[in-house]
Amino acid sequence: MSTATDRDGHDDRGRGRGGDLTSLLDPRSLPLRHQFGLVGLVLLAIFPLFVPTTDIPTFIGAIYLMLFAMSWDAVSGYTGQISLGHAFFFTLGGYGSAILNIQHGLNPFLSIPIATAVAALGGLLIGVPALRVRGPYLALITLILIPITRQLFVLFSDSFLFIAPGGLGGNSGFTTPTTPLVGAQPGAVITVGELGGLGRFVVGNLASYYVAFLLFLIVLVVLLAITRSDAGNVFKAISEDESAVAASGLNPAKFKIFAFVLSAAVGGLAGAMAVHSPALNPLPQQLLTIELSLTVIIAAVIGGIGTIVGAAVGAFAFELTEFIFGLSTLQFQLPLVGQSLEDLFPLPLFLIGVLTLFFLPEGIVPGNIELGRDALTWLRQRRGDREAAADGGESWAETEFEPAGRRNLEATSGPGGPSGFERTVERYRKRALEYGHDALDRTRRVIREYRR
Amino acid sequence: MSTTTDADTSDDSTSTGTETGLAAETAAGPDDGVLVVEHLTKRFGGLTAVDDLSFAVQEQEILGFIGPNGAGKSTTFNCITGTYPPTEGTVYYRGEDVTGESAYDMVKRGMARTFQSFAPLYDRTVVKNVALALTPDKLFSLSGLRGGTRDRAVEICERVGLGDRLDQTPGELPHAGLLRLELGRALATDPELILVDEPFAGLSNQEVGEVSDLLADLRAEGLTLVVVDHNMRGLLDLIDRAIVITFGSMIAEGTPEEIRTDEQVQEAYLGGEL
Amino acid sequence: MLELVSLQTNYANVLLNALSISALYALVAIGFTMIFGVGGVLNLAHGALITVGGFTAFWTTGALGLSIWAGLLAGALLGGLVAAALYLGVVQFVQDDAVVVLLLTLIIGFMITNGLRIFGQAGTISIPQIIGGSTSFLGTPVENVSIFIFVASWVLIGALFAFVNYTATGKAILAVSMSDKGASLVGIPSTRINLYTWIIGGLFAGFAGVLLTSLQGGSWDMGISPLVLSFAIVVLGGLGSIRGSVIGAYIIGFIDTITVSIFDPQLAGLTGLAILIVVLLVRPQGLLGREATA
Repeated sequence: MSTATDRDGHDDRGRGRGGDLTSLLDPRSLPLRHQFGLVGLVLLAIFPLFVPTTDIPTFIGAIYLMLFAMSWDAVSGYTGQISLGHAFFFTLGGYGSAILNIQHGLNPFLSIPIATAVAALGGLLIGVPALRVRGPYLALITLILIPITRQLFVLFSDSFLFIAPGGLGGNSGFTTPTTPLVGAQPGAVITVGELGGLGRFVVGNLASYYVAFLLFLIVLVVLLAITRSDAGNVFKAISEDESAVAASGLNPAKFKIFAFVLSAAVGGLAGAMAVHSPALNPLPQQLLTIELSLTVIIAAVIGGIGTIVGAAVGAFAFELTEFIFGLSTLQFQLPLVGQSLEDLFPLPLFLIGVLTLFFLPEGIVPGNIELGRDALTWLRQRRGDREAAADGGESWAETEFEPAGRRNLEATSGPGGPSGFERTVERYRKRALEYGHDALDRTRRVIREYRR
Repeated sequence: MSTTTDADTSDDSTSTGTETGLAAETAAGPDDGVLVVEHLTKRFGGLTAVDDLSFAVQEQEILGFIGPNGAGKSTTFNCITGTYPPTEGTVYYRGEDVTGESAYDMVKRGMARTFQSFAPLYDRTVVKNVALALTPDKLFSLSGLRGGTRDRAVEICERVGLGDRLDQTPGELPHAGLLRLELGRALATDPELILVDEPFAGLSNQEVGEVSDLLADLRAEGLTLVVVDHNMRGLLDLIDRAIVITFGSMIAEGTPEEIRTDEQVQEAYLGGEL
Repeated sequence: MLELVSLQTNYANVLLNALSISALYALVAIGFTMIFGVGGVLNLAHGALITVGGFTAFWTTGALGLSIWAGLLAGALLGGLVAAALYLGVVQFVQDDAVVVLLLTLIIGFMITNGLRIFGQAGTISIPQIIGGSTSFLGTPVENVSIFIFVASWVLIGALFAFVNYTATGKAILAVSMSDKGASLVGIPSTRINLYTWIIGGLFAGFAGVLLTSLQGGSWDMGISPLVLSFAIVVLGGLGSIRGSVIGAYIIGFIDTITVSIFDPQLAGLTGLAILIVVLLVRPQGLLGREATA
């Protein structure tokens, strides 16, 4: 352990320095993982300049997917209230803005904020009753939101009260396109022309990308601020033990609803802006699907639930992989399988998601490990810090504490213990978990040593 | 059988004299103590867990709440602190009717509790556990970002004897450590009254003494304590006064000496002499 | 979703349709609710099991050229097999962690159905009808298919009731659903019991999948609507209650069939979902289920 001050600026009595703002913002003094983050942002900013111009819309879509994923993580990754139908909120925002724009003639600068407010309201209406029931029921409620809304779209495809005089578009979406926020078309809110040798439409796409990127930065800062503040601690505490939160004098319901509404609003905002970009058209097949909810969840899981950043990383990796699989150079038929990589989509990503959930539930982004329930304790015990209890017995941790899977297996297997197969799988699973924890611990130690 | 703290308390089974300290009290009204419970009853379906229980807790006293397992002690606690509302009865805190208020509201009023089956947050260190209870119940709060919260949390941890375990997680704590963490969390909410649920269970003699001293110190600093346990060992030396309940009803009330010699208590509880 | 066998406004047929389709959905719901009641797992891959049944029958009757009865048997068996593999290979290791197991079953379910789409058939599949023709019942012609579905489903439901209430294994299942720790204390191996519930759930789902495919054709995403409707049924009846699932299936089945035939066919499935929302808001534990509030 460090002597004078440790990595986060606390002295060896554990007291903080209460650092001032400038030292907080100086890039050179930031922890390494933050430095990585900054580099990543810069790379993301210059990314489209190195990509074939026709592929830029794909990466505009990637940014919006990252936004969707971050919005999901903000509630489900933090408070533990799993929403399986988050695409519902993307749709509220996206369709809301599309309807206001196409059928009521509103300028996107108006329709987008209104649609975001609608999504937030939806989050409130769904969240308040839904958060009163236990986890499985909440997950079910959010899941069935999607088919219900699909049905409603079909039912009201011709007209929906005064809200949507032109109807909700049924299963095929709207026939008129939405007004782009920025583009080369004359109808766009901000029109662009040629720039630096690039044609109008390329510049339009680039501009769309940077609009999305700007939104991403703003949302990232806001979400990071909230989750790194006291509220974030409370969110995570809620997912651990709600009664402990109440006993600490905090109202769990208030925080849960806040997280839910925030998540809905961010998702809705992303959806609303996305439909005015080349990335997305307000089509049910694109926006109102369980697959989209799943994709967002898997992206967050792989990247690391409960970190915000992890969700963004996972989503970008997802899109990048899909893009790479779609490259013409990779359009060969895989030997055993008889399909090309692209055709197989989204199976490979789902498979990785399953493997991650099974073997490494905390995901890949290291920051998450710090808060992982088993990890810290487990790591300390591996290093041999054992405490003798006052009366010489085993410490509580040694007797009581076991990772969930192992306890379950031994307690509930058939007479004669777990079968050979079960033991093998459990052994591999433990090995993978240990390997994962070890690797990450080693990485962190290396990073810490590098900084000295 | 239940008794209220009224001046005519002269049930032969409880008072061995006129100086039971509370015999001088008038009928328990809302102002008769920091915490006043009147005719508390809790039924779960067909089971009556708490049956017409009434008592008052005086400022800065340590009240013992004794009873065998299943007597209804934890249920009473839960009704009082807002885990669930009582079926019947009223709870007064500082003269106000707070029956059925939610747990976090009770905490904000100044009534904290510890959990018998400890409820720490396993995903964070000891000091962060305590820091959570220092967090204001506001959606937008930055107090954690400034150093102040952590300093106060460290102080509280040191106060309850966890100063050398600040960065450990609850999974690494021995049994006594988890209890101290419960107390630390309760203290962090800046309470006036703490309901301590079975602190001595599972502790060695030395630890019982340490925790007992800690609780006495807390009282000396101005706190009022209600301590529940079915383990007489550590309790009787600590408390000023005791209430004994069994099967949901009070069977005795008085000083530790009186309780020790009370025949009903001995029979219901110990099957003989203490 | 609940498409009628034939669009005759023949009231006997409508009634029998409601009776038989409800029984079919009851089968799906029962499997789902048992897996939750006994193991505490919301098996979101249940729809995939239905699809597996349908596709198996499709291949059995198509590529293998066997009879529809072989297809029915194969579909049910394969449903049970996949369910067993899912439990033994994945779920039993993670069933303590509610979040992980929920996500895993959801994703794996999607992998199965997408796999069927990619490696099997992307379009609609169809299999021969079980029994053609119609019989005369009280003077009106009713479709034999409906009669068969009704009878077969109730035979299965009855068999399950008998199994759970009168055999040792069945009672063990009930025991584990009440308390798996208590059950293991008396020597009941909850892993094996859980496995049985998954197998039963898979068998029933596969069976239902074959019949649904023979009625209205199938596709890789055929499992979604029955699954969602099963949610409604199971929540109405109470998660964990077999009886509740049967009752719920009939309530929802009848309301839905009536709505579709008397009002607007486009409202198919919506009434079920509306009931689901109301139940979740008003009484989440349903008619016969356990406490649901947080």
